[in-house]
Amino acid sequence: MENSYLVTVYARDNIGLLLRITQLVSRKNLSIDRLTLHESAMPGVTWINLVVRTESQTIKTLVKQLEKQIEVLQAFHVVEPAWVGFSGTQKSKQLIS
Amino acid sequence: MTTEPNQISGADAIMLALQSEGVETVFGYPGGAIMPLYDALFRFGTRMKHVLVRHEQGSIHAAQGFARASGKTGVCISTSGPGATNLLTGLADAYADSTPVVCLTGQVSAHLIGSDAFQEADILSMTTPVTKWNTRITQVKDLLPALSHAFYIARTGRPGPVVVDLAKNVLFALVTYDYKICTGMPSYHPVPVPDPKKIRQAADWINRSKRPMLFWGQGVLLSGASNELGLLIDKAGLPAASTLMGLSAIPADHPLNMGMLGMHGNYAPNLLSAKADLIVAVGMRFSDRVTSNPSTFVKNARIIHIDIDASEHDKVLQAHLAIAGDALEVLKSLIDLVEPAMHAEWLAEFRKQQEVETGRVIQSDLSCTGEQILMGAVIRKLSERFPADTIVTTDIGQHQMKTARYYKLNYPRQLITSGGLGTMGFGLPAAIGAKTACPDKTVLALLGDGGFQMNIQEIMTIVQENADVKIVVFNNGYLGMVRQWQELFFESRYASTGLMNPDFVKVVDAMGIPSRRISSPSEIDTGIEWLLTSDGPGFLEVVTDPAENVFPMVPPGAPVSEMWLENVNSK
Repeated sequence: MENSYLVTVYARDNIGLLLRITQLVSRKNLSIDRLTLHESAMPGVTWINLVVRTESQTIKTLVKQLEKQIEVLQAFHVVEPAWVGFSGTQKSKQLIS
Repeated sequence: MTTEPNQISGADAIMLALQSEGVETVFGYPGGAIMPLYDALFRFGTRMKHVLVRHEQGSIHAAQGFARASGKTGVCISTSGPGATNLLTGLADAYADSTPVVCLTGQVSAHLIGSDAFQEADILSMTTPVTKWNTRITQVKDLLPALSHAFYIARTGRPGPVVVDLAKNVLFALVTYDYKICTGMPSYHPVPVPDPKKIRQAADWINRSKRPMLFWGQGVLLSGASNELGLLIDKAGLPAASTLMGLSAIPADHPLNMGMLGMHGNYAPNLLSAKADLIVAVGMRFSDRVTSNPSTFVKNARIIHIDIDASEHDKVLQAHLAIAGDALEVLKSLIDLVEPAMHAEWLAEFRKQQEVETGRVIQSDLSCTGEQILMGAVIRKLSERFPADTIVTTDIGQHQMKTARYYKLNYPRQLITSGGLGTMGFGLPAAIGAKTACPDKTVLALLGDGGFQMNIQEIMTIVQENADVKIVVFNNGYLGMVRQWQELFFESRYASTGLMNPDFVKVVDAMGIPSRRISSPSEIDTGIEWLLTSDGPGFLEVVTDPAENVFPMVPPGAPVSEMWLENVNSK
């Protein structure tokens, strides 16, 4: 079943990091619905959040592939809580508007 | 800039760093942006051997051949722009086949990056999807840590290619040489520790299984676990079959070696995988060439998947038990825990199917009774006549599958072939690398007429290096494997597969390698004898039957147990 997943990645901030992360997503023929990144509490470590819609099997493989990248310290995913996003339920859309 | 004592140029520091990493040979091609490094190489003299290829693709395939034959990291050097983009195919190949390669690519000076300067290309971005790691160095302070990381990352865990893109100013800039070989990185844990509970569970399943099978892949060769694999299958009585990339880990004639899995693999392991109740998969990734349709693959078996790369677990098939760990360590633990077993009835089923394949495919493939030469017959004779530890490289296609099927591989790392990416043009430069890594071994490049012409220029590298490589080109005038598919699945419409070839013997002879052609079965023995005994490199063109096909074959999308032994459409 397809779900919207929030993927969180903590990684060392090198030039080319974002491309390395996002090309893994596009390789699975997925598009990224939302993407944010900012410096984490640890200097030099970037905190990336991205939201993709896919099957649970694909997201598990994707997160393992993210985690094995050399710069990545940790990667994990959750089914996106409905209230977080624009792709959420009718109720969440009402809340946003 | 003030010069501190003991400072050297970035280019000189790279040469010393390569030496610290045990690198004795690099493969490459010079150009504008990388010239300072070549100047350092020149001044380094005999301490570093440089193999001058004729195209950058040749340099990375040679570095791959070097790495695959020796287990060491292959190094290649190219200039910026086109020099570096020419490496992409080799990087993708090394990435697919987990080959440790470090590529040092030139880049325009830091102040020109992003200005569309002459021979500037965004190599960092282009190589990201096909590298285990890549980095661009624009300041000399980052140079030495990056090099030590590059070598550590390339060789550890599941190996892979690494690119270090070097801005030209870094090669001139001065640096204090304080190189430290990397022994670990905080964000990279290359070898997971296997869970002992899972290993006990695996041993328990093996002990209870009535119809077990073991599948192995290149992970066994990469972790140096061939011996342990043999001990495990002997003790537990496991019939075992290899992926293309795993071939040579267990001798071809080992009684429990059932041959190769997959599309053109052996009949018995493909057919009986559907009847197995347990699959122990070691160091393999369930490629589509092995599984065909994954939803129909090994449906009746529990699957134990042992791999050093946890992201391979459950990627294609859901394993019932996934063990993340190094093959050598896991196999060693399993050997102690499994009980001796024979599975005589189960093995008898394999023998029966082996006889079917021998009678319906192998005998005719190897007999060569007609007027035309068959590839399989020549390959089997080569394997009987050449030294037992000959390193064999191949290109892609029919001759590659015939080599995998009929060349008797007995020593680990004996076969160097492009597996995952299927790169035509791989075999000839890979042979140069293999010969450089193992100068005392015979190296035999088995090529098709199509693939040979994709990197034919590397003949001159062989001549210049006086590399004693024996080359066989099977010339059937077609891109044979594509032609076979056109015959089987496109109603014999041979779209653009017929090749007008040059006189290969004249061409190669003119380039400086003694050459011969054979075209009749009666000439096979003398042709092979000539190649084997010729002094230095030799080239043998073997004109073969254009209609020869590779069987058995799993038609695309079909369950592997429904493998064809011949063309079912022609019946």
